[in-house]
Amino acid sequence: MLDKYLAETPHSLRSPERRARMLGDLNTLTHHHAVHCAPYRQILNGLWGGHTSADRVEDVPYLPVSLFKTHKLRSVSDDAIRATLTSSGTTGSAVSEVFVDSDTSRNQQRGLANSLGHILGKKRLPMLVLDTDATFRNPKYMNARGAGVLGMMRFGRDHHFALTSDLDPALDTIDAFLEKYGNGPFFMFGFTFLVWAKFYEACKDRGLDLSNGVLIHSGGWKKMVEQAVDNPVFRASFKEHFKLEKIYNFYGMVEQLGSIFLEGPDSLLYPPNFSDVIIRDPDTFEPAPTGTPGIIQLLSLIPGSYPGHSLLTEDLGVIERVDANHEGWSGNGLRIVGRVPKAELRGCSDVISEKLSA
Amino acid sequence: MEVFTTQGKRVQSDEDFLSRIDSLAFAALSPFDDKVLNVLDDLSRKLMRSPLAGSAPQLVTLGFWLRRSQLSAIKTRFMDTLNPDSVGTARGVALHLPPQNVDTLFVYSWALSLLAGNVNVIRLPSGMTDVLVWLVDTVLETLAAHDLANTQIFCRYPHSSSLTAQLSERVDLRMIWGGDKKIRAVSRSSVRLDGVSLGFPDRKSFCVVSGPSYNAMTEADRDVAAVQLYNDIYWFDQMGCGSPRVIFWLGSVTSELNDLCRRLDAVAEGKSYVVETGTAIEKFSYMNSQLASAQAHTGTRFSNRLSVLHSDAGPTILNEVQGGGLLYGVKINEIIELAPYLNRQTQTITHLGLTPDQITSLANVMSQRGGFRLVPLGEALSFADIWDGVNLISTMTRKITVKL
Repeated sequence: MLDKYLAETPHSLRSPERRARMLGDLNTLTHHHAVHCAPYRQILNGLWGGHTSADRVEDVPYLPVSLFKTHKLRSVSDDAIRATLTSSGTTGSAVSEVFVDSDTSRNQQRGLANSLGHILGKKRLPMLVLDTDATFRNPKYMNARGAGVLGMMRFGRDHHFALTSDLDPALDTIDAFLEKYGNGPFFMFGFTFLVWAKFYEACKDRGLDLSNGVLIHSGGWKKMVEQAVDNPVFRASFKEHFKLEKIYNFYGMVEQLGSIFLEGPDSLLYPPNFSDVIIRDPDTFEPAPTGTPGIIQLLSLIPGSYPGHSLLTEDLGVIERVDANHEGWSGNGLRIVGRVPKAELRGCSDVISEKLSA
Repeated sequence: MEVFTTQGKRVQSDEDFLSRIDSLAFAALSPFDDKVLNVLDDLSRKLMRSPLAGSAPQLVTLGFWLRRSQLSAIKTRFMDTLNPDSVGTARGVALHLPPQNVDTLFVYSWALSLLAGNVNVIRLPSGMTDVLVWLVDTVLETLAAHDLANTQIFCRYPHSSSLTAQLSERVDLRMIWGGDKKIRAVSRSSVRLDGVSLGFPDRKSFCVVSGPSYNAMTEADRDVAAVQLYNDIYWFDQMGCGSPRVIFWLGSVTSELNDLCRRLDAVAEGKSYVVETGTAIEKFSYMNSQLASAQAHTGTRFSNRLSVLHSDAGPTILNEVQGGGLLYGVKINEIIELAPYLNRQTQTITHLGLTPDQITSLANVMSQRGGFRLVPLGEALSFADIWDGVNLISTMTRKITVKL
């Protein structure tokens, strides 16, 4: 299913053609999951009239992403599951569980390679991981951060880890890496907040020259906004202190691993050719026009072993531009606005558990 | 800790506060003292004229409930409970722990206890809405004008404080409102050995509609029913204990329930009922989750304001509840089919279009299984001096036997 999308230049499919192509494949996935995943089938029958064949991409049924926290959703047999991805999402105790078989796992890798290849090139570059190797030491039950680091490590070679297990900067390692590779192209990856708080803050006055590097980072801006750091500030700071300009943020979630929205030349986030985004009006859940913020729905052709091909997230965003074709980047250019604030209802029953001392 | 006064909040040490409470041990009044009736009458009028009444109709409801004729009726019912040789008197000092989120409830709890003659300590919630701030100010002003402020103490202290425990051991009466967890936590400290502690835990409530009666109703009557249902459900975001979670539809089909729900949604829209995006997503997630768990077979999202799940899964649908405009619709053929849904947690059942026989058999099911109120549609949230089966005034007073 993915081949014909991967054969195209990454991020090149224009929105109308992308949707026309994806519709049939999304319907195929809806049908596949309806047949093989009973809870999904019950939702489809109960809420969507049982239809598995949408006329428009906008009409493809979507699941709330929180459903992966409350239900074990899979469309393949138990023994076909190769990995269980987990994520705590944000604050809160429930954990998402995503069941991945070998096909889906391979497609996650291919999908990611397609997006990253666009900016890293075909050759694997020396890699400075802006994290600690302690995060993926236990491969049995991996959290999203460890899985993310491991997934990215496939796209680099001779990995060096810039942080110790206590998340302090490993200065000797960083110096050794730059000594060896600093004069040629190299690759750096880390989670946005760690990159900022543990790498940038600790190293900003050490005169590091990262001008030949490519930094890819992800993980959300919520904590960053608390420190009054947005993407322009982030970019300017790295340029000022490290001469680093090739910086790419991306947006993605464990429930659609392999589909990442990568920062394009205009700083908007672009889906890979086999993926798309719909913004929904928070009041009606109807598709919102370009330029109007709303709830983000994500579409991806990767999830085959679990019904995650169409998900309503708990994030707010806006499609700023469609098919801008800036340096060849087409599709829906997305800007993330933030998380949907947690609901608080009134009522006679105290929702907040009272910590009353006896 | 902070004490609310007409000049604003006054910070006080726990020790000073407790010794003030100790000094009031014998400051109670007689039940239904004229002074008290006057202060509540005055308050009633201020509430009904509240500048916030437009956005907070609960203030008017409270004012209406506190009017003199209604209080006289409570007095008459109380007097009727006294034997010729017993005298009703206040219990002494009462502690009220109202819920965090229903802003007017503390006044009902306090006003009844004041009618009983008690000295009252009311712990107000940490986060106060504009409505609550206005309400507390108005109550304090009114008390001051009638020279009653000294024995009625409105205060606030942090969760970490041990004041609840220290107050509890001093009081003759404790009223705990607001959920199982809170009642369990508070109950770890006891009141005076001869005191009374009343807890009002989590409750669940329902609505029963007769399909044939609904069918026979005019358009106008159906719209009236929708407004009543709106008041029952949406006033406290369906989190009020009396707000129905399930509509049982007697002897009829889904399309009639849909007709009522369409009207209900239109009323909510007309009242500009606001649904936060977080709540809308939570409700959508809940629907998906219940369908995935086979707790419902179909769901309809009328709008962000109202979603309805149709279920024949039985009482397990009550295990997890969702507020903010989410209803279950359950079709039944006989009243007796409600029985499995009722238990000790049941509070209110509102009814529409039932025959007297059906009402009687529902009351019989309730007396066997659970439930405290069987009232017409629209009265789910009306407060009464008999609450969760307890005659509040009787409990808030004690009787002295006097024989010649």
